[in-house]
This record gives sequence, structure tokens and C-alpha cells, in this order.
Amino acid sequence: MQHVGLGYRKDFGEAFFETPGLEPAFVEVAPENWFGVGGYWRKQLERVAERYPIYTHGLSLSIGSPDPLDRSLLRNIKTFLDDWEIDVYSEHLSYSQVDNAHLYDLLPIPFRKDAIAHVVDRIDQVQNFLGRPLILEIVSYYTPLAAEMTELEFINEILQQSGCGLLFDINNIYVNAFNHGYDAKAFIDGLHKKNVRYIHMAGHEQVADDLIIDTHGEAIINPVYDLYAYAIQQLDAPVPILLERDFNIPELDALKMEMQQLEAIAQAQWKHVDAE
Amino acid sequence: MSMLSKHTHQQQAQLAAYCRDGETPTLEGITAGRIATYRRLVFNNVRDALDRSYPLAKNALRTKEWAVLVNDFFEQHRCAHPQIWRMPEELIGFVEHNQASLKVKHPFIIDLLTFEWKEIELHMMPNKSIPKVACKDPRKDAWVLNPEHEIMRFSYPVHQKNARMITPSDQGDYHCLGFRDQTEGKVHFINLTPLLANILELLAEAALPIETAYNKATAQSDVSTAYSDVAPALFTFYEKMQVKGLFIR
Repeated sequence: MQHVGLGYRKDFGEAFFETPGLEPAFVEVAPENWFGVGGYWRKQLERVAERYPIYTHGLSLSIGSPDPLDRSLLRNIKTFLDDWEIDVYSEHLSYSQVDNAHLYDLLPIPFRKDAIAHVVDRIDQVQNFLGRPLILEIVSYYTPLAAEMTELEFINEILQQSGCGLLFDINNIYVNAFNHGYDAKAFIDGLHKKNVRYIHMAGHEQVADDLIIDTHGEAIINPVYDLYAYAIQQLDAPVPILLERDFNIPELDALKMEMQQLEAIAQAQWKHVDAE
Repeated sequence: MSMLSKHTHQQQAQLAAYCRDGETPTLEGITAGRIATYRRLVFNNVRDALDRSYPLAKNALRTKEWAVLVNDFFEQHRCAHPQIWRMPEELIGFVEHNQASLKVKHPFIIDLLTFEWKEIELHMMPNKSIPKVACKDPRKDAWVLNPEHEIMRFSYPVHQKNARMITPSDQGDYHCLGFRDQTEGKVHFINLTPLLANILELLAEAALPIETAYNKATAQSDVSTAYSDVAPALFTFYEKMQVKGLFIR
């Protein structure tokens, strides 16, 4: 693969190394699952790193939290990125810790002016600390909270003020558009796409007539492929694309086919740039 | 100084508190019924991590007891670890300090949770530097203990018996060694006599020949058997443990 990577999961086991043709352009791991780890799993990560570039996608930074940034966590992440010579560090535009309690899930930051200032300030702190650009993901959310502007205005303002990278999560945009009744393409049209550095693709689960949960536990559905094709048409230059699958993991041949489909769409779109 | 207004801070804190304790918050501009989704997702994360880490404890308790424990932990405890795989360790302290009746009913519970957690900790712990050793005569030269180990003391034989079979009469002094082998990274546990526990504790401080370690350990205990009487059995134990990866050669 030239553009498409795969989120590496421990559940893949030996099949990750043995599935013919499963050759992601890169793999992505969550630093929180790997720093300070030795023994068997360190050896496995060494095997992965020998074959593929590693990108990271953090879980517990909690960039939008009212709590202070966790310096100890940041130190551990920085050490991990430095030790493994990793340049790409992405995270979520959300919060997951309040009052010193971790929730291990992604809560929605209020779409408010003071929250923008708060997040922009913390993006700057994180980037300076890590010595790397931060790429933030548009997260799925199931309800807004105390919003005084739209999600789009909130995200664009953060991107413009902070200059941070955007993780263009196409499935999340689809899920949010469904759950909150807006037009996904119009959202993409309005997004400040100059900052897009990375794309995530995944499946989801519809649990009610009016609710989709972003589970990463199913295959990507066709409307999300369509939205992906629409989204990348609007990008001037290629960016890496990741397939995420966290639960209900199928035979890796099935993931390979999803990756091939994503790759074909990307290559068709970027063939002129790729040829240069 | 935080740039967040008190109001925004409170809204975020209330949503997070609701996720943990379920107490109806006063949140602005939310979509009806949707905050329950967050509570369910957060709860599932915590429950799944505990279930995965403590299969033996879950099995030892009645289904409802385990569910109540997980729920109490979820609602009352502030999870401190940013790494979710490490978070279940916090259950041990929670039970120790907040679950008096559970400890009375299942006096082995702390030992069992500790035993299960140690397996995860040993499996995942950072690599320790392994000394290079040239041992020519195993009967006379110093033996080097694999540093990736832990010696545990229990009041109940949680490392030997199905916890459902443990009775109050099993209470005693138990010693158990856990270690991670260097080849496959697997964790092994062995039951230790008090004397073997003493010997291994000495070896954890410094590499020693078998006889020296034995004599030092017996000097600290009431064992009076001469080394020559136990030497063959002791040597067999060392050799067997070396094959398993407890010693570095």
C-alpha cells in the first residue's frame, strides 16, 4: 500500500505478520498501550517497527479537560516517540479526564469561546513539550454540551488559531451528521481543510433509529466510502489514511480488502501527484 | 491560570461526574437521552478492563457480588492511571479500603486480586537489564537470578487452589514466586517454602553459590539441616528452575 495504514492491535496475533499482501503503508499504535511495556509485547512491537513506519494516536491527553495537562503522561509519550523515532502524534479533540478521574472515553468539549482559548493554549503547550506538531481528530459526539456556536465554527476556530493538524475522521463526520441531523458534505465543504494531515476510516454501529455509535467494530459502509471519496477530492496533496478496527476483528484478509478499496480510491484521486 | 470560565468548567465536570455516579446533572443544551450513552460507554470501558484483568476473582465471587463490586468501584473511585490497562491495579486498594464486608466474606480476596494483578504486571513490566554470566561449575559458582521476578507472600493459597475451594482453615503463610522467562516472555508461578523464599530473596540482592545462599538463609531461620543433606535436592531444584528461565546462565 502506498497511502493506507492499519491500526495495529494485539488481537491480530501472528496473522499480522503472515497474511500475504497485508502490507500497510504504516501502522498506528496508541502510545498509552505501549509505553513502559517490555517482554513479549515489546518484542512484537519491535517486529512491527522493523517492517513498517509507526504513527501514533493517543488516548488520554484530554486536550479539552478542565484539569491541568498531565506532565507525567506527556513525558512518557515523548520518551516513547523519541525512543521509537516516531514523528506522527495525533490525539482527539475531546476530554476524558476531570477532577483527576480518567473516564477512558471521549467526552464532547463545549463549543464555546473560552474552550477554544483553553484548547489553543494547551495545543501550544503540548507541541512545545513534545517537539512535534499535534494532529487533532474530529471526534464522534452523541450530544453537544452548553454550545454557543456550531461544531464547525468551533473546530475551524481552533484550527485557525492554533495552526495544529487536523485528523480528518470521515466516519466520525458521517456519524455526527447522522446523530445531529446535518449534512456531512456541507460540513466537509465548510471545514478548514488546509490543516488536514491525516485521515481515519472505520466502521460503526447503528443502535437506534436516530443513533449511531462509533464502535470501530464493523466494516466500513458504502456511504462512508462515498464520503471519503468526496473528502479526498477536496485535498490538494496526499495524506496518510488509516483503517481502524478495534472490536469484532475479522480475518485479516477482510481488513486487507478494505484497505485495498481505500487505496484504490486514494490512488485514483492522487495519481497525478503520486506520479511526480 | 485556566482560560475556561467557571461555567464551562462546571458543565464539563458535571457531565464527567454523571458518567461515573449517574446523578442527574444540570447540563445545558444537551440532546435528550444521549448522555446515558456516555455513561454506558464509560462504564463498559471500566468493567471490561476489570473483567479482563481479574477472571479468577470474578469467578470466585457470585455474579451479583462481582457486579456490585465493579459498580461500586466505578461510581466511587477516581481512576488515576492514564493507561487503561494499568487501571485495574487500583481495584486492589479500593477493596482494601472500601469493601470491609467483602473482605470478611471472602478473606482471600486481596491475595487473589494481588496474584492476578502480579501476573499482568510481570508480563508487561519494562525489560530489566540481564547480566551476562559465565558459570562454569554450577555446584560452586554463583547463580544469577532472573531480575524479572517478584516474590509474594499470601495468607491464603490463591496461587495453588481454586479460590472457591479456599476455606478459613487454609489461612497460613504462603510464599509464591512469579517470574517472566526471557525467551517467550511468559509468566510462571511457583510455590515456595519459607526457606526457598529466603534463599531467593538473598539471590535477588546478589548472585551467590548454592551453598552460600543456603547457609545464609538457614542462619536467619530455625532450619538446622546441614547443607550436605539437602544439596542434591537443592541442586535439582536450581537446575529445574534454570530450564524454566528463573536463573541466568
